[in-house]
Amino acid sequence: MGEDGDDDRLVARIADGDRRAFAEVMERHLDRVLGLARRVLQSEADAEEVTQEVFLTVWQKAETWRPGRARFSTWLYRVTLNRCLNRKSRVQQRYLPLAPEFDPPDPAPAAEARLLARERQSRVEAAIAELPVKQRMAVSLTYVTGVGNAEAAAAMEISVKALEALLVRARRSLRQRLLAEE
Amino acid sequence: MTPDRFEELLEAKGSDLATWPEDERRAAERLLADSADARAALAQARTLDDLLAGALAPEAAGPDLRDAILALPVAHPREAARRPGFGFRAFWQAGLGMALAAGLAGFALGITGLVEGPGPPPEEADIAGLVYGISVQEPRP
Repeated sequence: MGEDGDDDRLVARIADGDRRAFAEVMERHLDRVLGLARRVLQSEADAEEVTQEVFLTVWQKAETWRPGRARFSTWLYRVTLNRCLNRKSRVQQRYLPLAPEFDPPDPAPAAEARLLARERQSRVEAAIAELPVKQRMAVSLTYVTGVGNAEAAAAMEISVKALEALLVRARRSLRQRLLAEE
Repeated sequence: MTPDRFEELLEAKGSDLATWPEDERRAAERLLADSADARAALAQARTLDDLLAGALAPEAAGPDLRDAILALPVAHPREAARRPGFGFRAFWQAGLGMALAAGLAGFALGITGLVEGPGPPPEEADIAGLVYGISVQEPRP
């Protein structure tokens, strides 16, 4: 049975109150849901709260899930994005990337490589934080969850063409920010 | 395929040509065979995709968040509304509902007089009324 079938079977068990199935669904999807919320909200605390809300929705709404109409993961990402947007509209906070923590120099080559990787990570996060929220959502769906354009468009409730227009603008902007500096 | 169209597709669909529609992938492969600029654009798109995929790969959630999520079903208990098949409980609930509905319907029909209560057959009542000018029906309480 494929990933979708496994999800459908687990959600049916959750609808019957099976907490072990709920734990299994959490294990399968938690990191990607949290990663998506982190990138869209740019706040660890908010992302964790949204993630809890998303899984509470899974627990409470499992009985309304109808297999075959859409992929469960698409629905899950859609719930995540909607929760993120609700929270953003409530909080209206603007993320500013934190300055890198002071890290004493380490002469070991491995430490230098780690430092470079961390710097690269910070640059990417800062560049993504600068994107408009819709572009950030499109990029996060693509690179955090790894879904294709059709599923990303379904999660955002827009057409594939509209999603690709967002990705074109986002990639142009990120390429200028990230590759021109190298 | 023109080089501009190729670059537009790289930005819209990413650098993994295997995910592109078949006809556009074939056209892109023909362009790549002939154009150094197209190969350079593909290399740059792959660099960007790798950079973003590496930096945005989801990190594992912490144990506190996992525990909080696993506690949700306990904190928010719910009655399972959907059961496989039509179980005894659903049958009992449906039966009770039908009984209540039937009772209400009976009461409504009774007070509106649409249904006659116990009494003589209609033909008998009509004849008594005609002959004696009275009704032989019992008054309702």
